[in-house]
Amino acid sequence: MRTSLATLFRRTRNASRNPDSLRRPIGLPQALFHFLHPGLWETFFPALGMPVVRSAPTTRATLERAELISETEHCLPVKLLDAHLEDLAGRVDRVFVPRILSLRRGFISCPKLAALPDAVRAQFRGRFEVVTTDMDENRRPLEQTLAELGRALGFAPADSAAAARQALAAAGAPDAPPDGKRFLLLGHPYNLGDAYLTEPIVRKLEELGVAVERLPTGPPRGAPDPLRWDTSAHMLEALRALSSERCAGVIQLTSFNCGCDSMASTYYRETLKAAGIPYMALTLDSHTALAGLDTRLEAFVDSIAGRA
Amino acid sequence: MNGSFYLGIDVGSISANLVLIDAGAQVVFADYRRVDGHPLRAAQTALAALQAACPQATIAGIGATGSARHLVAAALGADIVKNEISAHACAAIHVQPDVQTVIEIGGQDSKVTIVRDRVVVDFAMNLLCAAGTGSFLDAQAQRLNLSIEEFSRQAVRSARPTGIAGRCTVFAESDMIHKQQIGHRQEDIVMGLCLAMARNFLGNVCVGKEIRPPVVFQGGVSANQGMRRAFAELLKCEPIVPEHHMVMGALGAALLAKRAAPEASRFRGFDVCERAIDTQAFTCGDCANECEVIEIVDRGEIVGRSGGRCRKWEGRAGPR
Repeated sequence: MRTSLATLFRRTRNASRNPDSLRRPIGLPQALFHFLHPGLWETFFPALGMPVVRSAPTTRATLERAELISETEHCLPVKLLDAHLEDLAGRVDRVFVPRILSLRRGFISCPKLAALPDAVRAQFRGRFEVVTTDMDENRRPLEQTLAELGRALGFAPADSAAAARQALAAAGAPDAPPDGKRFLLLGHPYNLGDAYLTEPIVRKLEELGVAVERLPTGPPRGAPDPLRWDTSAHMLEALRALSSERCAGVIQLTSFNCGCDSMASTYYRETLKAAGIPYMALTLDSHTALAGLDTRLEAFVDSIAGRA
Repeated sequence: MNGSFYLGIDVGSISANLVLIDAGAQVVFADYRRVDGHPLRAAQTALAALQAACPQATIAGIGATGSARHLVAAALGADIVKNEISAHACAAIHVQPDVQTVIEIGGQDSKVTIVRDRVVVDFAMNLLCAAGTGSFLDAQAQRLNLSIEEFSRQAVRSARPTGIAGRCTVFAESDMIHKQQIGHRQEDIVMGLCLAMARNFLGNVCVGKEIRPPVVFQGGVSANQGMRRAFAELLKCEPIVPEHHMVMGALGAALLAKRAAPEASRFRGFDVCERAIDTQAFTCGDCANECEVIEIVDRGEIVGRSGGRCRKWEGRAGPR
C-alpha cells in the first residue's frame, strides 16, 4: 500500500519540474481540506512565491453545481469540493488537492479523503494539473510534509522549510468560546467551517436567543479509544470534556451519507446521555429544506427550556 | 356561545386542522380537511366552517402550527406560532398527563416524542423519505383499489398477516404484488403492510429512543385500525388514541394560545376567509445566494414574508 502511494506521489512531483513554470499560480478550493487547516495553504504557497487563486465561497449556485457535476455517491463536502474546483478550472492550470491519510499520529482519516487527488483527476480529466502530497502524520509531521512539497515543486530546501514554518504559524488558532451556558455545534471541520452550510442553523439559534459555540478545529489528542478516524475521535474527545453546567445541548451536523458519522454517532449519543446533555443530529444534504431544520431546532430549544 | 375562545390551526402537507377550545380548555369545535395543494385556502375554508358553526365566538387568541405555520400566521394574524413537535406534545400531555411516548404520524412526516414528567426530553422526525407516513398507506391502498377506510377495516380481520418488506414503497409494491400472486389473502396483505410500516417507523425514527408506555398515538394515520393494531403488537402495549387524534396539533396550538393569554389577539377577523389572500415570490439580490423569498399579499398589502438563508425577511411586513 505504502509503495503504491509513494509512486503516485512521485508522479505528481515530476509533473511540475520545469523551472520556468515554478511561479505559475495555483488554485485553492475553499472547500473540504481548506477548513481542516484554515490559513495553512493560503500562506504556504505565496511564501514560496506561488500566487494563489481561490474559489469563491460556497453559495446556492455552488451547491446546485455540486449536485449536478459530482458523483452521486459522494458526501456533501466532497461534492462541494468538486464544485469549487470547477470554479477554478479555466482560471488556473493547476490546483492543489492533498491526499489526506492521517491528521494525527495513531489515527487515520476518512477513506474518501485518502482518495481525493484520484477522484479529482478522474472528475476533471485534463482540465488542470493536480498538485498533491500525502498528508500522513503516521509517516511525517505536517511541517515536514510542507517542506518536502516545496522541494518537490522545485524550490530550494531552505525556502521550502521557511515557507513551511510560516504556514504553520499562520494556521489559525481557534476563536475564544462565548461566555456562559451555550450550545455546541458538533461536526467535521469541513461542515462546520463552511458558512453557507451553517448559516441557517446559527441564525435560527440566534433568533431563538441561544448562544452557540462551534467545535474548534483540531486533531484528537489522546489515544484512539474507540474511534480511529481522526476528526470523529476529535469530536468524541470534545464531547467527553463537556459538562452539563456549561453546555446546554449539542447539535451535530452530519452529511447525509457520512460513513464515519454513521458509526461514531452512537458514541456521541451515549457519551452525552451519560453526561445529561441533550443531543440532536441534523442531516445536511443539498436538498435540506429549511422548514424541517427550523422545526427541529425550535423543538430542541423548547424541550431544553421546558426541562430547565 | 359566550366567553373567550382560543383557536388552534395546524396546516401541514396533507391536512389543515382547526380546533376551538373554551376557557376551560374543552374542545367546542374541530375541523379536519385536506389541503389539496392550497394551504392558505384550506385554512380559510376551515375558518369559514368555524364561523358557520359558532358565529358568536369571540376569539381571544390564535395559535398556528404545522409546516405552513408562518404562512397561515401571517394571513390570519396569529398570537403564537409553534413548531408542530411542541404543539403535538402539548396536546398529548394535556389529554394524557402521564404520557411517556407520543407517536404522531401524519401525511408526510412521522415523529416520536419522548416525554418524562410532562416535559419533552427527546424527539425524532422522519428524514428524506415518506415510507413510514400516511402517504405510504394512501399509495398502497390505492394499489389495492381500497378506500383508506376499507383498508382499515380489512386489516383488523387479518388472522395471518403477510410478511412484507416495508423499507421503501417501491420494494413494498413489488413484494406486495408477489404475495398477491402466490395467493395471500388481501386482508393479510393489508395488515402486513401496516406491520411493515410500524416496524419501519420503530426501526428508523425511533432508533435509540426509549419507548415506554403509556404511548399516545395521534395524527391522521392513528385513525387507521390496522396501524393501531400493528403498534399494539410490536410495542406489546395498547397505544392510547385520544378522542381528537386527527387534530392534536391544532389542539396543542390552541392550548398554547390559551397559555400565552394575549391581552388583545392579533386575529384579523373572520372576514379573512373571504379575502383573496395571495402569495408572490421574489429573488433577493442582496447577496450571491439569491434566495427565493415569499410574500403574503392581502388586498395589495404585504402582510408577511418568509424564506432566505439569512432570515432577514422572516415575518417582515410592508413594502420591500
